[in-house]
Amino acid sequence: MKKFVGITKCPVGIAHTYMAAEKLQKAGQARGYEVKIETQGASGVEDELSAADVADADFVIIAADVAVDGEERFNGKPVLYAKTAEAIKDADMLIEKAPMAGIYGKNQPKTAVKQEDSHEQSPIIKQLLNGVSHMIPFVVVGGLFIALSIAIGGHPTKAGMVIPPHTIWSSMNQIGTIGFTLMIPILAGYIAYAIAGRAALAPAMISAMVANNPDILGTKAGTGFIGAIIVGFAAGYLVKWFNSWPVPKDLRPVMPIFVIPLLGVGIISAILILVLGAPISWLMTALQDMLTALSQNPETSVILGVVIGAMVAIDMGGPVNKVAFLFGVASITAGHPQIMGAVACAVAVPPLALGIATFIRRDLYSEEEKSAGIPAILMGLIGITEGAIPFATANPKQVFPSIIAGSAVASAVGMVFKITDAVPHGGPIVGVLGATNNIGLFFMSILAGVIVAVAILTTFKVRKAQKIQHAQ
Amino acid sequence: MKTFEVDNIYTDIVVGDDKSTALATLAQLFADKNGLDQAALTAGFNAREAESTTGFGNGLAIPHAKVAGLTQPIVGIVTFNTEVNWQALDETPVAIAIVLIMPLDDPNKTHLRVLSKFARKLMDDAFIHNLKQNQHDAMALYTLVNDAIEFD
Repeated sequence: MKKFVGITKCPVGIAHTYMAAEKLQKAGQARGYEVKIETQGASGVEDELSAADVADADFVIIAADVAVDGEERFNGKPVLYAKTAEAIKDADMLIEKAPMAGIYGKNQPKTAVKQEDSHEQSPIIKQLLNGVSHMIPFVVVGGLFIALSIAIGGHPTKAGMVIPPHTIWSSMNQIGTIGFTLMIPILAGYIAYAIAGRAALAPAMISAMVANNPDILGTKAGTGFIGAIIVGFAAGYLVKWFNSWPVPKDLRPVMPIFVIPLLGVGIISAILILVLGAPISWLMTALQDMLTALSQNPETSVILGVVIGAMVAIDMGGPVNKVAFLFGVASITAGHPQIMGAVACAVAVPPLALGIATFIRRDLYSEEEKSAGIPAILMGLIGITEGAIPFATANPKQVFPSIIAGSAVASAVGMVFKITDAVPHGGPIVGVLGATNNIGLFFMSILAGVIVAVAILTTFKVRKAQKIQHAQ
Repeated sequence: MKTFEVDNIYTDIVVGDDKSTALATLAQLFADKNGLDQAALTAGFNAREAESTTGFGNGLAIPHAKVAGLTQPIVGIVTFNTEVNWQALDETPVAIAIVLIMPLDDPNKTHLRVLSKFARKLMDDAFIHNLKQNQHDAMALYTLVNDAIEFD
């Protein structure tokens, strides 16, 4: 039997939601369709569409004056968007047009990040990109505020780049830090949102903050953006499963505002604390022991450089990065800041390389990536590795090998040149401020890494583009 | 007090053809009868019309608003002496207004569900035809709607 499904939703949720639903139902049945319309009104969701309903449907009609929840359920189906008024006025016309409507998930405005990798994006990539595109503005604001405040207001000291308190630069730095702090829950939250809708936001965002909070985890570092991605997917699929429970009609309205958030946060946070805390601590100790062993012997200094550089790029602010950074800081305290020099070379490479790469083959990047290019370069100059996160998250298979190799080369070359850095901070800025022993060689080390990373990334990109061309 | 009472049905009200006069008159009628803030009610109706017209065709409109100080919804019917230019979906002037006034924060889902049933009923052509047939007779309208929907 022919079947279609739909959602109706209006601003007040009293009248037009139901009038539109009724009209679609009647018009559809008159034309011999089986019809099921989900109403998202003031009394909550009724006649909720199950996965089976959607699977059986030939097409979908969304008649709504405001954004509806759970559109992602219609992945792969023709979805016609209309106002409630159009459904009330002429439901027949909508039903006629809907079979020819665009397929949900293809060229949707929501997933504005273009992905050249594949014609058919897998749902996982789409969910990831939903998180990335929501996160980018936070990274840009956070990164640029921090970069400017350090560049103009910062002074290099043994404790790092210090900005005098009660100045405009210190306020700016704190505001930028808020942007960076929010980046983690936004990434996790909107990955989960793409999977399971609004009810998944709270579990994902709160749990992502937990995962990034060393005090709660009982470790020396939070899990950074990689942790946020894992939490986002875990929370999304957990809530999706909650949503599949058969719940009595009267309880349904309290599920998304009460039961699901509480259960979701409770379960995921408990897993993070009980299961993740210990391995992260163990990993950090193990990595630190490895670095200590490598640094004992001057002959392995180039290997040490490679390892440190790779560690800096691998999770950009996560636990592995943290171990490398702290190892560098310890070398300052010990009075031979050569390891910090290697770290300082490596941290600048990922954002610099990715930003510059968007200018080299501009046609290979999405609009969003292109506009993130300049902020990334600025963040690189100030030594803020996080500027590379949006690129890495959106396109991990190509970006990670490139930046890991680039950072590793930069810090290995830095080791060879015996660069030192007396300030626990990195990037070209510490050279400009006179914290390194040889600014020329310092810049050359960074440049070497950037060239390697850009070359690898561009090769990957071009090859992928050619492959797609062949396929077409 | 009940959600739907015959006292909240007004027939053959004289307002002219202007929509905003009509909305103001509706607000005055229901505010006086039910002890509500007339200005707030007028503002509520106008705000909803500004989102999109509630004139849903066939000469009917469903103006609605949420106001503070109510404990249960009020459903009323007003028919006009002369048709009002409501800028309806089908551009037909409006002769009958179905008025819904809801409490600002009504935790009672049963109320909302009854209203949604009533809204669905308005898509029934036979029901609309009967409303129009009886638009000068308050008691007949009351019986007609009460037979279709169980309000309380």
